[in-house]
Amino acid sequence: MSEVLKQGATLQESHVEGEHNGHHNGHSFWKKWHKAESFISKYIFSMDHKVIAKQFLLTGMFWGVVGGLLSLIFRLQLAFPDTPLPFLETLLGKWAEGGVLDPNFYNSLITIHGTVLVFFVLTGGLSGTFANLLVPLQVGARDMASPFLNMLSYWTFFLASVVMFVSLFLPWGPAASGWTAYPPLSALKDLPNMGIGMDLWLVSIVLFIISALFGGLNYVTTILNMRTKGMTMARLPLPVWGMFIASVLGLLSFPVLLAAGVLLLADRHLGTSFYLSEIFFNGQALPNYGGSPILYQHLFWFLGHPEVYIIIIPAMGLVSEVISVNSRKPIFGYTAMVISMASIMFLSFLVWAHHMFVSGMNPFLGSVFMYMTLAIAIPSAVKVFNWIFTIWKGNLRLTPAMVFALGFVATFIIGGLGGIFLGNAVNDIHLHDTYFVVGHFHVVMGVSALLAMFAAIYHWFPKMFGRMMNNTLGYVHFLFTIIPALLVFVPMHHMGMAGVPRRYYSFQSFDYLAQWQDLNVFITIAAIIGFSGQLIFFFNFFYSIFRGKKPVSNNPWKATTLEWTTEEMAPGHGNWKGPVPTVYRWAYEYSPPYLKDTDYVPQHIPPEEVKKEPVKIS
Amino acid sequence: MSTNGIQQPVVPPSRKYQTYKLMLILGIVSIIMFFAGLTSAYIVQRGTKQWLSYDLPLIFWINTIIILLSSLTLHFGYRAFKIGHYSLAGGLVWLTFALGTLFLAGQWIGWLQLTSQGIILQGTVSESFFYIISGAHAVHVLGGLGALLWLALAIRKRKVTLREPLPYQLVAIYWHFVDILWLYLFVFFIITL
Repeated sequence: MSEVLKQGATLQESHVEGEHNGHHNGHSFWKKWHKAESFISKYIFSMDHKVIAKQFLLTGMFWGVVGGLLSLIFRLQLAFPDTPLPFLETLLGKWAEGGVLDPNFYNSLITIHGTVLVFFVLTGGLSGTFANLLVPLQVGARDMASPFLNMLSYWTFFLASVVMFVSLFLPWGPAASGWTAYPPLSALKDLPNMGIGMDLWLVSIVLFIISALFGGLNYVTTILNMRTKGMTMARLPLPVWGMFIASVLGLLSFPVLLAAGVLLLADRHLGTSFYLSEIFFNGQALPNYGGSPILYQHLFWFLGHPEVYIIIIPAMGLVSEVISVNSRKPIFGYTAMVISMASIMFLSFLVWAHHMFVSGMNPFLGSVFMYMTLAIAIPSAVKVFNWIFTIWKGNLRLTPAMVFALGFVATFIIGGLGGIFLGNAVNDIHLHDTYFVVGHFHVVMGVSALLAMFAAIYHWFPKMFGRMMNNTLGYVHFLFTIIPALLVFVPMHHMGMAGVPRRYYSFQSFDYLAQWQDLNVFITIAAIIGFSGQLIFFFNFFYSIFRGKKPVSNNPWKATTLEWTTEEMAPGHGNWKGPVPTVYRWAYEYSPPYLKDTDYVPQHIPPEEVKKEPVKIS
Repeated sequence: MSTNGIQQPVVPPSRKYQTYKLMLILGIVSIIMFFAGLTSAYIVQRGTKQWLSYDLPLIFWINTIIILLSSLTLHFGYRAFKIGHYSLAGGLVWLTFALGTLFLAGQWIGWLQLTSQGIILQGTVSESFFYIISGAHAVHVLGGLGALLWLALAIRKRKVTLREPLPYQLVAIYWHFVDILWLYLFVFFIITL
């Protein structure tokens, strides 16, 4: 015992000494890091969650442009299958000799387009950006629980990006398996465009999964453990709830995709047969025996379906916040919003096989998955109902962010209704792998998640860069986004009903599909207009970073949440110069009847100050 | 840019343990899902034609005992650590590290024995699964060994002491986890093969 005491005493001494020297105390690392702060530590290998958020955003935007451009190339092919387009040869070289797109490269284009938009733009770019930006700021923390892991999360994502980008320029072509990478196609190395490109695709996805796990660990821990005083879970703003639920979902489902990827890599390189059995290739029977490609589908969709909720639940949270702030009304049914997000998360684990209705599964099993799938309509409808009732008789301020958020609600309804058709096993047998599916998921999780992302960018831009984006350009951007998007994807529903199959390079050899040629031209033109509309956004974004108007106050949208209480508009590392504010109420105290001069009470204003006189906005 | 806020640590010392423990446990949950994915794939495939059943060589039983022992040594190390016997604690961490290395070597020998019996990675799915799953476990053990090595050196330099016990606690949680994970996988293989 005495030894222990002695030990303790020595510790005490060394502790004091340590304080003196600036070593050995808990946060000496930070001090050192801060002293050494140079351009590199501040903007490149930064551990500041806000800088990491911007890094995620810029990387996501980069991939948005790449993914969009790829889709334009294959849309041109679908619209003008017979006409050589010489500029394609200039652009793509051997993949479009004489201006005619190579069919294998067409497969690569749709694969990379799907992969980068689902993973890099709508997962990394959307929740990577806004979870990083908002979680610490809205819960009242100085940074993430582990800023280092957070930095690692971005750089793994960056590495995944680099690997994917390199694969685009391989002479053997990038992966061409579709974004789902179904075996046996994806397991056979010798098929065209399925060599190193496919391997790099898998490596990139593995890196991306690791990045998403690192991020998710941090978001969940920060939300559970680092909330400021008074910030109970029931007072959290909905974006934080969205990030929390989506992160839990990611932590539980991404590892299963990792397992699927490991087995696929083994099949490709170690000679195993997890997904292969009785394959004839080039007239020869392969030795692989005993595996099952359906196994991959199960493992893949166990992530693949939750993945769409990993994308859309944060989007829902962000939109709820934007709608409530700009309707000047509390979000309708806060608890119902949280419960519905949580039940969507829970149900999303039980619906994966609705992607596999035509894989020969037992019809009884199919009907179980069908009921589970249709059950998701209930929480989704609750959310839509709540958004509409938040707007109802609200004092609407149609800022660009609000307009995009309303666009999200609209497209979510339109796309969601298509889901009810697809969720029925009987309908799905007809609609499976048709353009109906393409139209459905593009509207419900592509366009609507993108609209939510834009809403969030317009709304939180001042917080990120300390300046405002231009409103007029914002409205023009909105019109050039939502109208072309609907013109592109709504007709696809009709094509799918008529049986037009997806992923086809050309419909020239099928008479019954000839009638859709004009519509394909129409869709392609709409897609080009929609893509060009995004240039307005890019101009607005980069121009506003440097030349945008300064916000009139530190709380330009008159919101209640903590991120608007920082002393600086774009806060430095540590977020608050003074102490972290204490929270006294929930995040949606808009237009309560007891207020006279103003219509909202921020979360950090103590109740006694509210009673004495209504909060003044500087 | 403001610098004031950062004068305070990001995670307050009082919440450090629960914060990082929570993060580690969430990570462990992810790893569990990874192995759940693999083992459920195994169960699904088990019903198919050409499923080869075989006995695991004795060495895997020995390995199981070794890795269980290593958890014990790490635990006793922690008890010594808690009463300030740093040199004994450090020694037991080294012993744990040695047992972990022995486990990996034993796994390697086990794989070689299986291969010599004709049960190979490129064989039927039941054979491949054993190599992939136990291999994936070995990768996680390797990570644990790295952590143990770091911990043993840190205790020797007295960087990890009673004032800063967090690294020991975290390494211990992870190491016990890979131990229990192996126990699960081993029992799983014994029952299903």
